[in-house]
Amino acid sequence: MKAVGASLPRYDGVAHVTGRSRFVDDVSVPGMLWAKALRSPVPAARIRRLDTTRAEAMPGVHAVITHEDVPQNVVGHQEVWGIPPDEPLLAVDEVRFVGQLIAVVAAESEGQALAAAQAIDLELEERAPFLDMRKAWDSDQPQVTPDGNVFFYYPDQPQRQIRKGDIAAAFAAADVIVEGVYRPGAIEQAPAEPAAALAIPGTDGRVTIHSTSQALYYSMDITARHLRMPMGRLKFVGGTVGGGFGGKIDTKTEPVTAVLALKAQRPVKWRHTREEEMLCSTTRAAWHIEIADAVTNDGWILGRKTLTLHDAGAYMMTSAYACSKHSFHLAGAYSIPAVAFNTFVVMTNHVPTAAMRGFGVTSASFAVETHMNRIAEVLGLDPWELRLKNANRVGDTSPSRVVYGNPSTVSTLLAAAEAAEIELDDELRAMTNAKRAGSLLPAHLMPQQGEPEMHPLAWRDGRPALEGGR
Amino acid sequence: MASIVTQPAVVRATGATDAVEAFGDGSGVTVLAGGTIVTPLIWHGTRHPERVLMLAPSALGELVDDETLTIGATVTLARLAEVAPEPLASAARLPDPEIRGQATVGGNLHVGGDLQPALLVLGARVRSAGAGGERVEPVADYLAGGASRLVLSLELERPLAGAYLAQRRRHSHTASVLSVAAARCLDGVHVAVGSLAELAPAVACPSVDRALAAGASASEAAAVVLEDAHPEDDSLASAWYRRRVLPVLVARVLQQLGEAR
Amino acid sequence: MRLVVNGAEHSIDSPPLTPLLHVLREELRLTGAKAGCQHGSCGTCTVLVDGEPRRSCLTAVAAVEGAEVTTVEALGDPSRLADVQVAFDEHYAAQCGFCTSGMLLGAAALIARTGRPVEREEVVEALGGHYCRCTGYVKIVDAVVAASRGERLGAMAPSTLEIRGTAS
Repeated sequence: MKAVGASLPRYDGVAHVTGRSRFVDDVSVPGMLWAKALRSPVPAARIRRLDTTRAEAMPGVHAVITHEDVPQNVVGHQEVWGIPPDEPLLAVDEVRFVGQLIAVVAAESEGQALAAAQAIDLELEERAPFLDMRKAWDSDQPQVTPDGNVFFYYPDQPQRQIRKGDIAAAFAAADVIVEGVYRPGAIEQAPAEPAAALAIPGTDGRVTIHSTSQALYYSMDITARHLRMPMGRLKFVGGTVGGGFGGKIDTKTEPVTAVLALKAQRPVKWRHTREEEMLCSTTRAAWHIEIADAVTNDGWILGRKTLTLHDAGAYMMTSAYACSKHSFHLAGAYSIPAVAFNTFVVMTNHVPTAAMRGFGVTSASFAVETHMNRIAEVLGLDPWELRLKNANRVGDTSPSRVVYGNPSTVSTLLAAAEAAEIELDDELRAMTNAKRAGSLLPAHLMPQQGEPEMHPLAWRDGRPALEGGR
Repeated sequence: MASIVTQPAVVRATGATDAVEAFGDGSGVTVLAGGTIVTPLIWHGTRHPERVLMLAPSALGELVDDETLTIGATVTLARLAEVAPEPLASAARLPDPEIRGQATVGGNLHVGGDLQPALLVLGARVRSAGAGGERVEPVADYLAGGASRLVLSLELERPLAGAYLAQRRRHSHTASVLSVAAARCLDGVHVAVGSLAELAPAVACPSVDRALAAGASASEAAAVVLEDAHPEDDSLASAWYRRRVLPVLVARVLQQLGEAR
Repeated sequence: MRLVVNGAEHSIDSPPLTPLLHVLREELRLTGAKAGCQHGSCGTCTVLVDGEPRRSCLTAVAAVEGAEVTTVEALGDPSRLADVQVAFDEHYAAQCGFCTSGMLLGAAALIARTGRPVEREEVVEALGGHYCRCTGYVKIVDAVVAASRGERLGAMAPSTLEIRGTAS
């Protein structure tokens, strides 16, 4: 292995420093048209009238598309995981968030496309938006979807839940219950490069699409489904992306330009303005996280209950996945023998939310770590000591019952303390992740101790051997 | 490749005389000097001027540093930062060097810009052209009149001392959340506040001035700033936040002024 | 109108109010300058106008008639990289590369203007209007300082980032 530990030049380094890396907007082809979108100016409305006749007649315009032009308008981002498709590429009879796509124009110049988009006749019947996820169960609130404002993970259960141990006993045995509510806000990924796509219709029924997607095959699949085309008829060109951070998984520019290109029979490029990136593209969600911990006076966490609300925005996208990930991380890096986590996906009239760096988990980390400080404050304990004694060790069990083989919590905490020049006493500094014993193994942690299953690789005659069969 | 569909008529002026003549009474004219605010507004169709008057950097670029400092409207913020007294120099250094090298003094008067509170406390006068011919008036009157004339130059005298603070991200190309200027002049200390809301003109704070003249401390005088300054909500900050921060900023500026010679 | 870009004279068809950025990218097909925000907030469009770094998205092309415009394409090509380009590559100062063109030109202008090794704070001040969403800026500053010292490592550089704070 030559590469690990070595300092190697980036394969794209010279291209970057000579300005020769070809981003999607750097690609230009003969006959290329420019796209501009008509987007909803309001968070919730019925579309009473949509007439593109005037726009179609404007100078330089080659095509205008609405939902009627999209072969399969509603495609879900997680159908493979059983999440029903709910999101139209172009709005049909309602709009559910500010910036939702309604129609898109392809014209000879960006200015002509913009003028035409502004000339589309749109009549909206505004209604009250639902914006506060804490009111998800209030019956007097506007309903975002026909099925209400809370997504049902399972037919009989609306939340993602994790259960382990005897939570009632843990709370009964506690010296103190420490509660906290944490509300990290929505964040825009804001890559330096706005999203863009260039779709080029072939003469053989195939379409080539230059894409800024972070996940080319994923976007290819969604595009193919919108077009009702086999994936083999699409060629995606990409991989040179000016930052994504989770914000370039949402697949809108590719199917829109493809539909326009096929209708106009000309290549079509659509580049987001910075305003579209900030206001209309997906963001990291806002979360509402309530934690209640059953703790002892000497700083053991006997049990944890959580209630999380996740603001999915107007459509499901990948929120169900985010909330599953979030739920598994709510014990943090700490050994908590009894847990009851409940996570709800709440639909609102905000921009649909999606991935950003640590999708679903950064919110859990923020809440859990802030809560640890709160526990330390309430109990009058040193926050480093509190973390080190509860830190995961070999043989501890996660909320999903995985037995830890070699958790790095202790070593990470000690390295962090050293880097921050925090003086820890000798007892703490000597800690390791070795299996709990003595004062580090109180009675309530004994039942959840397990043997990590390491499944070591077999070796026969100096070679690794795959041992299968019975 | 054009973005705007109907191109406005463009007139270019390289000197004061043709600038004044081309501006006329200003109807239907948008002035483009540095362009750091106006260029994208026109290009993306947010503004639809019939006529654009492009001012070359030299058109109104004279700077006379005498007992009175006379600053031509197309003098850049970079140049201004080199020669102006405080608090004007600090205000001119807020943008990053690339914007600073292109943005003009005249432009800053029209966009709720960061120079305004500094100009107010210095008692600066605006010389402008437009309907009714050329006139000179205090900056406050110019702003109150709608700031829609052709700015020719600014005139001001150097104070005894000056101080300036802005609540913003360093070098970001946005309005500030709040800006505060103070100057100790021969007739006492003057305080002014800017960026109370997007595109809102800066305001003088006579209540603070009077408190200081009556012997109040920096924090005591700062406490009355909200009698003159009325923050609003906008996309950058809430009125609530601005009301809490403003007295703190004013106190800090006054403390800085006290230390400045 | 007439525009001089990277030493070559061009006759421009675009209307006078077209931002220089779009004349460069779409009429002259010089795509090194980027359309990151198109309103002057990000610095990815920065080019040199008579040697001074300026936001090309804020500059109407008519305003630079007769001026010398320099884009990243003139800094150097793969066979002949300028010091600042080598430094950015050796110090991993470019990740996605989208902000790099603007950063390079701002840095080159700073080094040319200063005429001696630069301090970190000078780099932060000069490039203050440039956004990078990938690198966290430290390696960009490392690279500019190194370039101003004429340093070429000839091998990849170890990181100069210390956990307690940046090396100065």
